[in-house]
Amino acid sequence: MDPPTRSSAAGSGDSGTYTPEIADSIRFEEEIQSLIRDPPPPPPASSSAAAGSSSFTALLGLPPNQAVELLHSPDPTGAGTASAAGGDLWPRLRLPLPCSSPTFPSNAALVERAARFSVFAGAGDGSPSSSGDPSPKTRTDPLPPQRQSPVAKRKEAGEKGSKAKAKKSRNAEDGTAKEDTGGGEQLPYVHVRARRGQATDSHSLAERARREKINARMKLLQELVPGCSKQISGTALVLDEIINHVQSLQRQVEFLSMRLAAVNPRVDFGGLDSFLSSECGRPTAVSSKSGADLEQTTWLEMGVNGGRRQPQPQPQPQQQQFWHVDLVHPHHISQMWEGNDPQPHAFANPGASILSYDPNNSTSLHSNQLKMEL
Amino acid sequence: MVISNLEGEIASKEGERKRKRKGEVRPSQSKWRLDSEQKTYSSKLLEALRCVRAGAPAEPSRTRAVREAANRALAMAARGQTRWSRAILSSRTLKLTAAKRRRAAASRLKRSGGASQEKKRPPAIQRKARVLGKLVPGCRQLSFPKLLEETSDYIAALEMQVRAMSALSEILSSIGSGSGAPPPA
Repeated sequence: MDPPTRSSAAGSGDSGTYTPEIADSIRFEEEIQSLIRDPPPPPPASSSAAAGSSSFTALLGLPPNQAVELLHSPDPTGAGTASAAGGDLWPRLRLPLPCSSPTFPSNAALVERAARFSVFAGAGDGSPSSSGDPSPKTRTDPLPPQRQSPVAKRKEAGEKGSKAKAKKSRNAEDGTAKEDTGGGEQLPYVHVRARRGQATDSHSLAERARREKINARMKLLQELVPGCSKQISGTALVLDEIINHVQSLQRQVEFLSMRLAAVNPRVDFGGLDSFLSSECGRPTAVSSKSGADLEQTTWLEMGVNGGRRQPQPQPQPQQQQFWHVDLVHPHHISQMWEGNDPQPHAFANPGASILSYDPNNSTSLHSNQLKMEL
Repeated sequence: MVISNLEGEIASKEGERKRKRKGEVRPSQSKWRLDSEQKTYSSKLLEALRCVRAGAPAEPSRTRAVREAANRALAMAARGQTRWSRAILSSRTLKLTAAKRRRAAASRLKRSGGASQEKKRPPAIQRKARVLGKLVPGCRQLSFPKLLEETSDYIAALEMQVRAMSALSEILSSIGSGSGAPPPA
């Protein structure tokens, strides 16, 4: 009975000695030691020496295909502070991987071999080996059955062992993966590393990922809000600052809108429109340059679209002011007239009172008189 | 001429044009610092102000109308990527704001009795999160990290709004008073 030549080690072993398996186990140990030696150099380089000891275990816990995905999945937010949580982890995860990826195939083989050893140590009675006879006798000694059992059995056991391990690690992974695919940070997984002395079950991992997201966003907000120095740590105080800032901004907007509302009637929007739209590329409604003309055309437009008239007899050249008067401030006229002395400025008054809220403003009167003369 | 001076003034007030744009999938906050964005917003605001001029003439309602127009223009500038902008655009009618005020008053009366019992997140922080949610439009029932994201974008947008409106009011007042005197260089 010669086992098919899966490996030269197995094939050569027919002399009754355990040389191939002993050589395998020796190689096993050597590879483990090389793996142990490899990861510690890169993590200090990535400034996470504390994670070095646990990174190895985390790495071993990953099945090889997921580790490869870690290597190859895109990292679009390399500089973004919002993904500081994810970004922090990426260099740590990436650096050990390239060093140990050449050893991953052997890692898988190691895993298989370890599984094989454990399976054969436990299941010496039920092994349907074609050779059969030495296996029940050698329950305590796992090495000899290796020599005689067929290759298929070895492969099956190896696969079962690796699948069991893969399932366990994948369950731990899913806790973080499904947490963070909805995270809007464009990473396929956010791999939260279980640090030393912290629980590694999926719940606490998810908690930690969530807390790190929140902390990243709070950091962003702290940079945005001016009064928030780094020393104010503690979410409550930072939130206080943020609330104050938002309230003050909203109050400023209110104040500015009051100013704009007051400044509004005095202005010829047509002229300003040509300034801004020439830079923005919008087609200009008005192209003339003098302010008075613009006023007239703008108000003519509004007059054409307009509405009611006030029952007030006025001469023809002042019909434009007339229209804009009642369009802009139909309710306001009576109020303003009470506040003004109407007699000296019989014609200029409606325009003056409407155009400027303080009738003492002489410049607007001046512009109205200009219009009237035109 | 007066007009060329004003044009130079606008250019200087808007600042330099060369700012780099960050390309992020998330609504980037640096977009609110761009001058092109501010200019677009200013022209939209002017348009809205013209309509307000025709519309609500009484003094207090005018302020409110200007503010609403400014907020709406700001929300449009956000291009619908953020929740607060969508909330502003979808709910700005007179009836709705009045109804909201009534609802807010009623809920404030009801709320003064109860106290929350949970201890997962300290109640102080949760209370503040609720307050913040009330300030940012459309963000009341939002999760905490999402709320923080919306808040940061909202703060950046508000700062741009303040900058644009102050520049605009300064220019407008200088134009208004500038037909006699030359505008400040």
